[in-house]
Amino acid sequence: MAQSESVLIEGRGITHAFGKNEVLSGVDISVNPGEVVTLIGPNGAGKTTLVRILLGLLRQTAGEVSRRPGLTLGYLPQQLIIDPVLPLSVGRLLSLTSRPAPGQAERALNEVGAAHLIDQSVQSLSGGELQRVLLARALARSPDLLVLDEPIQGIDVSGQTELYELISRIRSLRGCGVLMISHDLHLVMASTDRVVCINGHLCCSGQPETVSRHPEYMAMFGAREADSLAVYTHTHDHSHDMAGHIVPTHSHDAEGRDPAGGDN
Amino acid sequence: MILDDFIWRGMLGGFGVALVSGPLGCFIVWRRMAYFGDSLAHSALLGVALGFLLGIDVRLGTLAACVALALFLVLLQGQKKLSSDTLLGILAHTSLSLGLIAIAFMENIRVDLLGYLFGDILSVTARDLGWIFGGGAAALAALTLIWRPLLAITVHEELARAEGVSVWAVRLAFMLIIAFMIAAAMKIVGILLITSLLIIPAAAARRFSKTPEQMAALAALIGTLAVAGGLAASMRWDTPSGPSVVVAAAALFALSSAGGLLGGEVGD
Repeated sequence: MAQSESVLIEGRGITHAFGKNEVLSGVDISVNPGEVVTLIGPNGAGKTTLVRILLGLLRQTAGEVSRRPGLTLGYLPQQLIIDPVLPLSVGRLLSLTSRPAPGQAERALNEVGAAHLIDQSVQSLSGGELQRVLLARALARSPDLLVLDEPIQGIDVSGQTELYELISRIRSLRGCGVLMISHDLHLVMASTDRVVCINGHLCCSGQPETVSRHPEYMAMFGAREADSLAVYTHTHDHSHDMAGHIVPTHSHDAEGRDPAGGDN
Repeated sequence: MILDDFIWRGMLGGFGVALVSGPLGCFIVWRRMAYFGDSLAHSALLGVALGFLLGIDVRLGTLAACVALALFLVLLQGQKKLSSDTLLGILAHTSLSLGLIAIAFMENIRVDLLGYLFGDILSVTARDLGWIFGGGAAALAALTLIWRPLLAITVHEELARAEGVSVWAVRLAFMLIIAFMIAAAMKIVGILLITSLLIIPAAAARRFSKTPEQMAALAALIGTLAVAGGLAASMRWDTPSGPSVVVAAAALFALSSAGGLLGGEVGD
């Protein structure tokens, strides 16, 4: 993968403790422009904590977070429940934290295939529609970095796959960096460039196939899980072009990568 | 019916308050802060006492008391042992009681307690109007300035923070605006009824609104109608003015609910 001169966001040696309970110790993570990085790990691994620290929502106990100066960030939270007493149309939601540049709101809605929803009230949307609209909201800011915290709550599996493909497509179109959390490597496999697997500490990181065969990953999710993943990966390598961009097959260079990943 | 000057002043003052309380009340409703508004208003009586004791304008005293209570609450909310509504209950009634006691101690000053508690819209002076419109214009201007970030933190606070909204500054500004509004509106509906002028017009406006901005504008309009209707009724039947305005607002709310049931909901 190409070395990038301007890392969008980077965390070095991120450590966090709630009281005496250390949930993160010395985790390194970075996202380059145009790169999709997925953070995976079991429940309680500290994924959300790490992302909250990177977003500046939580102060780390130790370590350092740096952002590229002037970075515009678009955030898709895990859950968004809007009280029915607040009348909010999709169009209005798109200018929630900043007024989009002319045409950006429409462009973003078109990209996620939700242009027809612009006048609908947010409360009337289905789970999948809401996620698309929230994605459009983040995109309307023309972000350099998109951050998604398990953006698939309340969506069925095919909808989830679709959403991840959409995110990967958007990255290709816009060249923005993407950082997302997932609990399931299966689903993100095809749409991510790099996987960072954590469980309190950094277990392994690298291209999805590398991570799926990493001993620590197998130990964490079980060999069977890793097996089924390998099968899935294989079938997916053949059907991947439908997203409209070419993704190289990684099978030959996946072996033997060091756990820190090859990008930095 | 001949309309005397004092009626016009009362009417004007009521309109001025309604124009601010409508949009502000929408945020109180959206953010589920009805009890907070009530608590701030209760502390206003302590401010009245403070005003008399220090010999300053009672509205300045009220403003000081409300701001102090708001800041105190922000501090206390940092602890995790008691929930906000318990804290609010303690502070609201303590400050109201302290205000009543302080006023009872002032033997040489006759205080129209009922006027402060329930409003005395027909005793609005030109100076009051200056307060209402000057303060109201400032409050509306400030609310316009923080409108987008305030709405953003109302929808999702962490999202707003992640995208660069400074939540504390916006929240603080919002509380100060509420304190301002209470100080200005005290004479119109009274300390015990102020929250109703914030909440009822906003609630009545919900059914007919598709965007937050529409709801704010409609709430201001409904509040104005409630003031006009309440004052007219107050003169016609010689009822207390503050409560009459509140009942008029409630009647408008009931009408809007009935209209919503009959005609289908506009705002979904």
